Amino acid sequence: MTADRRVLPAESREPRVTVLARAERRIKLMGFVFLLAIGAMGARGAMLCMVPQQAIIDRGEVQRFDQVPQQGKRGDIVDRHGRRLAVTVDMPSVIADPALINEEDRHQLAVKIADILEADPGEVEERLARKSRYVRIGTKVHPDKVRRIRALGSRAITIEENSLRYYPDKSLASQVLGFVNSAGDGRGGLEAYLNADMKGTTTLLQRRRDRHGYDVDRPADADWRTHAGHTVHTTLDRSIQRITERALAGVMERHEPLSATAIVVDVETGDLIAVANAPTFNPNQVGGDPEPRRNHAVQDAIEPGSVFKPFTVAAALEEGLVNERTLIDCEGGRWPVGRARIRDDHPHGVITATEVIKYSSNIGSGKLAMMVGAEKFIGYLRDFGFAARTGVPLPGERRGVLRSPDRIKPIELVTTAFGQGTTATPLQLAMGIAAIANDGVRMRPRLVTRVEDAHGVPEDIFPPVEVQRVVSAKTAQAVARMMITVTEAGGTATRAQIPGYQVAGKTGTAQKVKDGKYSSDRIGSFVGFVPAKDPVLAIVVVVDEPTKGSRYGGIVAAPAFAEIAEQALRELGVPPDPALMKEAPPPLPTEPVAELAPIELTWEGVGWRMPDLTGRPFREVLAAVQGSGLRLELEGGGFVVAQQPAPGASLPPGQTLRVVFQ
Amino acid sequence: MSAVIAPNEVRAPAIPRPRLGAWDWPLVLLTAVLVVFGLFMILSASSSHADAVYGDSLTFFNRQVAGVLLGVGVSIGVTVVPWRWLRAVGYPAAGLSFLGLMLVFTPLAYTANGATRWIHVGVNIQPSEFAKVGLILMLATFLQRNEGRMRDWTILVTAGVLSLGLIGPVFIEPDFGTTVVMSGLVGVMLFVAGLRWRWVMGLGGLGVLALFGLAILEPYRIVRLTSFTDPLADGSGSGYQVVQGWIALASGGTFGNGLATGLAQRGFLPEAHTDFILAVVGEELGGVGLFVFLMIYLAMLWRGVTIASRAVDLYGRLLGAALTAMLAAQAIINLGVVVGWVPAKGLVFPFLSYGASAVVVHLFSVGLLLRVSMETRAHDAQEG
Repeated sequence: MTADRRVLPAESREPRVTVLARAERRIKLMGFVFLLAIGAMGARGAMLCMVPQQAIIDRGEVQRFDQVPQQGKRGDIVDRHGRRLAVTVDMPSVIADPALINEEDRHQLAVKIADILEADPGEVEERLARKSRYVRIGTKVHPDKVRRIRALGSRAITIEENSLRYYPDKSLASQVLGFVNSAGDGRGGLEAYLNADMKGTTTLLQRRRDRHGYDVDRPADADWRTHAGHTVHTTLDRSIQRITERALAGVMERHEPLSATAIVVDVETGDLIAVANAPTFNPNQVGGDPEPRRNHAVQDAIEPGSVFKPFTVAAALEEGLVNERTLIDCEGGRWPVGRARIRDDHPHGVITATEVIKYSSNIGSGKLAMMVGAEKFIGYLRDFGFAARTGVPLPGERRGVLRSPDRIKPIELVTTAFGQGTTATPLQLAMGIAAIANDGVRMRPRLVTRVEDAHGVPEDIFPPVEVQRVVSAKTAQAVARMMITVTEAGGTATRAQIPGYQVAGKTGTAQKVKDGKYSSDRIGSFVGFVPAKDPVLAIVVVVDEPTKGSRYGGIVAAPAFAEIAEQALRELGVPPDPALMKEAPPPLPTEPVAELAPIELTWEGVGWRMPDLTGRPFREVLAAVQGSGLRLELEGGGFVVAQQPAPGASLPPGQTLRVVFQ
Repeated sequence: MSAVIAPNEVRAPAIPRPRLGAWDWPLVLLTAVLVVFGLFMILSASSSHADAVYGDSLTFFNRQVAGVLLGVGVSIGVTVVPWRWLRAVGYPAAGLSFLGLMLVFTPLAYTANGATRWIHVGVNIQPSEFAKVGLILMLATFLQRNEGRMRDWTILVTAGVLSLGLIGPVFIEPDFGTTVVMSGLVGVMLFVAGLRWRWVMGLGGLGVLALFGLAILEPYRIVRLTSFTDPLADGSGSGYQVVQGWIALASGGTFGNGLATGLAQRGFLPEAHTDFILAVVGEELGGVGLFVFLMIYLAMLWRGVTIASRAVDLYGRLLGAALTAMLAAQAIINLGVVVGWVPAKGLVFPFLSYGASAVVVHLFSVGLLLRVSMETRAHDAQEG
C-alpha cells in the first residue's frame, strides 16, 4: 500500500533526537524570558508600592481621605444653682443610603426603623426605596433611639450629628447670654465674650471614604467630652432674673420708655444676681433689630443725675468735713456759681447733710463737692469705680467719663456732684452703691464663678475680688442711714418701701443730653440696697425716657426697685424685720394686700372667658394675659378699677382687653 | 503492508497506563495555593462592587468558587484521559472552539464594555478562553504529525491558516488582548517545534509591525498608548485606571494595609476584581506581598517549563510549552498593564482575577500539564 500520507520520507525530516533536544532548549529559553519579564515587572510593581511618586501619593490622599472638621459640643451656661440658661441640644438625623439596601430586606428594615422612630412603616419603606443615595428618615432623634438604630447594624443607615443652641427660658437674660450665629460663634453677651471657652475644639477627623464620599469605616464613638466646650457657671439667679425682668416689663407698660435696665448685685461678693433689660429678644429666634439686643447695663454710659449724690456725700463724710447733722445752706433753691446758676426743684434753706440726700438738693451736693475739692472729689469717684471699666466679662462695656481734676471748672465740679456733666454705666452705679452697702469696700462685679470642662473639672475659678476700700465702714454706714431717709415719709422715693424691710436708696432724674444740649427727655433712676442695716442686695433701676405717667426716678424706677427687692429677698429667704412689719405704714399700694386666687383665663370655644380683674395688681393682669394672644390696653397704674369687655364676656385672641388701674 | 517504520513516525508510545494520582505534586500544590489566594483576593476586591450592583457581596466570589470547582473537576478528569484520545481530539477541539466563537456573533451574544466576547446561556461564557486551549490542542497535534519538517514552508502556511480560523473571530469580537496572546501561542509552538531562527526573527518582526498597525488603525488604542507612556498626564481620563492602580499600590507600601482593607475597590479602581486585582494585592499586602505572590506564580510557571522540557515526545513538549506560555503571557500582559509597561488590555491574571470561564480553562491547562508529567514518569519508569 502507499505510504501513509502523513508519513513522509525519513530523509526530509530532522531526526527525532535533534527535534526533541532543540525543543527542550527552546522551552527553557522561553522559560527564562518569562522569568525575566515577570521578575522585572514584579520588581517594578514592588517599587510602585514602596517608593511611589509623590504625585501619586498626593492624589491618593486627596481622593481617599476626607478631612471632616468635627466641632466639639458647645458648653452650657448655667445660673448660680446650676440651672441651665443656654444649652446645646443634639439633634441627630437618621440618614439612609437606599442603594445599599436589598429589595428583599427593605420591608423588614423599614418596619424595624419605623418601630424605633415611632413612624409610619409605609412611609419609611417608601423613603428607603427612593432612587437616591441620601435620604433623611428622621430628624431630632432622641439619643436612645439613635442607639437602637445603630444597633440594627445596617450599613445603609447612618447617623448625622447636628446640634442647636437652645435657650430654655427664651428671652431670659438674653442680653447677658447673647446668642450663637449659624457658624457656631457667640454673638453678644457671654456667648461672645467667652466664645473661646465654650465653643469646644474643632478636630479634623481623618475619614476614609469611598469614591462616592461615603464613610468606609464606622468611626468609633469617641468620648464627646474630649472636644466639648466648657460650661460657664454664672452668678445669675434664674428666679431673681425673672423677677427683675417682670418688674421691667411692668415699667415698660406703665411708662413706655425707650428702654429700661435693672441690675441686682450681691453686696458681699459683687455677684451679679440679675442683669435685665427691656425691651428684650428671644435668642432662639434672633431678628434683625439690634436694639433689643443691647445690654444697657454695660453698653450705655448715661448721665447718672442725683443717684450720684451718695458718692458725693460719702466723700465729704470720709474727709471728715461734715457729719450727718452738719448744716448746709441750700440758698433757698438758687445758687450762682460763676456765671451759671444752680437750682433745686424743691427749694430749701439751711438743712442737714442728711436732708441734702433726702430731698436731693443739687446746691447742697455741689457745696459738699466744693468742700472736698476737685482733686480729692474726683479721686473718690474714681475709687468708687467710675470712668473705668469694671472688667465684667461682657462685650462692649463703656468706661464713662469723669472730668480731669486739673482742668475741671468750679461749675463742672458742682454739677458732677449731682451727676451732671459726667457719665457712668448702670453697672458702675450698681457697683458703687454696692460698695457703700458693703461697708465701703468695692467689689469687682462677678458674673462668672467658674468655667468647667465637660467632665466637671474646673478650668478657671473666679473668686470674689475686692477692688479696694473706698471709704471707712463708719462713713458707709452713715451714708446708708442718710439713704434710708430717702424712702421714708417726706423723701423722694417713698414708693421704694417694702413691708418688713428697711430700704436705703436714692432717686435720680437726669436730663438727657441730645445733640449736645439738655433736652426735656429724662432718665429716671433709682439706686439702693436692702435690708438697709445689713445689706444683702444692691439694686439699680434705670428707665430711659419714660413717656407716660411720670418721668421722675422716684415714680418710674422706685416701684420697680421695690418689686424686685421684695421678691428677691423672699426668694433668697432674707427674713423681714417683724418690728418693721407692724410699724410700717401701709406703703403706697404696689402689692396686693390680700392674697387672691390667681387669675385664670378659661377657653370657651372661640375666645377667652373674661375673669373679674377688679382689685388685681398690674403684674397679675399681665401674667394672666401673657400667652393668650390677647392685646392689652392699660391705663394708669396700681389696681384694676375697670375692664372692658366686662367679666364673663368672651374675647377671641387678637382682640383688645382694656384695663384701667388706679 | 509496508512494514517500514520510519524512525520518526508518529505513534502512541507503547507504555503502561500511568498510575492514577501520580501527579506532579509541586505543580498541584503551587496551583492550589494560587487558587485559594485568588479566592481571598476576589472576595476582598469584589464584595463592595457586588454589593452595590447585585446587593450581595458574595456574588462574584460564589461564581468564582463554582468556576474553581468545575475547573478542578475538569482538570482531574483530563489527567485520566488516555494520551491517544487527547491527540485525537486536537482537530475536533479546534472545531468546537470555532463554533463557540461563532456563537458570539449570534443573538446569544452578550456585550460588555463595548466588546462582544461572551455568550449567555444561563451563565456568561467567554468562548475565546476555550479557543486558546482549542488552538493549543490543534497545533500540538498538527505540529507533532509534522515533526522535523519545520523547514518546509507549506507546513508553516498550513499552521498559519489553521490558527487564523480561531484567532480571526477573536480579533473581530474584538478582543485585542486575547488575539495577541493567541498569536504569541502560535509563535511559541512553532518556535518549540523547531522553526528556523531566521523565520522566528521574521515572524517576530511582523508581529511587532502588526501591533503598531493595529494600534494606528483604532484610535482608542492610540489613546491607550499615549496614556500608557504617562498615565498621570490625563489621570482622570485615559490614564485613570492605571493611576488608580498606582494609587492603590502606593497606599499599600511595604507590607500593605491588610486583607479586605483596600479602598481601591470602593469605586476608585475600575475592574478591581478582574484586570487590576494585582493593584488590590499591592494595596492590601504591600510590595512584599505582591512580589512574593509573583514569585509563587513564577515557581508554578517554572514547574510547567520543567514538565514541558522533559516530556517524552514532541507532542508533550509542545503541549506543555504552549500551556505554560499561555499562563505566562496572561500574567505578563496583566502585570505589565498594572505597572504601566503595557497599554491597557482586558486580560485577567490566571487564578487571581475573577472570571469563571478563565479559571476553568486555566485549571484545565494545569490538568493537561499534569497529564504530560504523568506520561513522562510512566515512560521513565518503563525505561528503567
